[in-house]
Amino acid sequence: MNIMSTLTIKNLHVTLEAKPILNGINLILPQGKTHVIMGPNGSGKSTLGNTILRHPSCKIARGTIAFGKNKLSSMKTDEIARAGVLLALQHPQAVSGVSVTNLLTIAIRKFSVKRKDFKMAHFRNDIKETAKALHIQDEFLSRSLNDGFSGGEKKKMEILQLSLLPAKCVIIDEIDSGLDIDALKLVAKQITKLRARGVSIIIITHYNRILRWIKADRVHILHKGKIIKSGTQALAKDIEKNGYSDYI
Amino acid sequence: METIDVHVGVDEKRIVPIVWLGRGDRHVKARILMDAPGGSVKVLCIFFAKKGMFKLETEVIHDAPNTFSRTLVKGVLDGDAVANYEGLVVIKKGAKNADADLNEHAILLSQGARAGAIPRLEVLENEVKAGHGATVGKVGEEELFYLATRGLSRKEAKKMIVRGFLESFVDEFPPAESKEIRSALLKL
Repeated sequence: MNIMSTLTIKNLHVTLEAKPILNGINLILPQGKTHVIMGPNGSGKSTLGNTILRHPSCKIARGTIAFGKNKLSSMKTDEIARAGVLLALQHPQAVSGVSVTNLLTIAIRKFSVKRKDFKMAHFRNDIKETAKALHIQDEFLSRSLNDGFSGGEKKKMEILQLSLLPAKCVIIDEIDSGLDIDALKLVAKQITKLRARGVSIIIITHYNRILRWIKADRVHILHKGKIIKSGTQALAKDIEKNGYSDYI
Repeated sequence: METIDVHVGVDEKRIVPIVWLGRGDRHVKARILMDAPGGSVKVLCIFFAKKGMFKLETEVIHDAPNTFSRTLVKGVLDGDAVANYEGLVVIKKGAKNADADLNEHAILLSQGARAGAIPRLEVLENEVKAGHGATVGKVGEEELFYLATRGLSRKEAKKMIVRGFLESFVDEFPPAESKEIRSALLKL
């Protein structure tokens, strides 16, 4: 990766249906680092991820989000994605009549306009190889995306897409829910590959579980829309043992 | 109003294609009479438009044994386009082993677009197969957001959904119609 871009969130206040959800988030994620956001239900974790991608329901009341030179807080979702900031959704939508292969081959063109060395045939091959690595069966590559897929299949599809599009920073929202241990290991392996490529990573999670396979540089605890504690991976371990009650 | 009258003969196979691409309002009434044994018909209608009104009435009458019909209406509406569909299948007494199916599926891409569907079956013979269904779906903000997180603008996301929804159906049309629909889909 040539350009180093830091994700900088400053004093971010967000409302969802006129209700304040985030109340002054400050976060700096340097390029290539992996941060984990943990917190009890309703603490605002998913809202943070959705706000970075400018979900229309998440209204920024105050504060800014920037990724390198890009002011994400004043950009549209698709522009943010094309700037290399991608989100794996907690609840990915079903898209009738569109397969993941359709979607990826159309999406990649949006990213690869200036890349002369890009070959669609190679990309199609990459889709198959990555799917294989995630133990995704071939038929899921040509079926309507997420239509009737199990929770685990949907999550794998999210990681497949994030692995194949040219990401610089990914936000991974509760990828560990609905996955069994074997699937979780495969997903963690892909996330580790992204990390090795220099991609910045935010992992939003409830549990410490996924951190057995992924090394985190920082762990933040979110409560009532604020980061109340930051620490090393030891913090996540402590929460697994003792719960959130010591911190909130 | 335009009327289409089709008579299906003994063991004859017919396709009745109807296409509305939003160039002006249209009202079509199609009546298909199957009073000879072994006849088969596919009534296929596709519509997609950003403006205008479309009204479609189809009537398929099974009045002979071993007759087969499929009525399939599929469409996408954007802007303030309106489509209303009334579909009727009649299976008369004596039309033994008739096999009929009637379906409409529509997708709305905007707040202003509207689609209505009234499918009806009148079955007067016992030894038959008959089914019907209608769905009107909305492409919601969540679906558009999802595709936007993959780098697609609203316009591109809508285009992708429309093509995904209609493309496989286009192949069932005769060459002239499928060519017309394909070129319209490309212009999206």
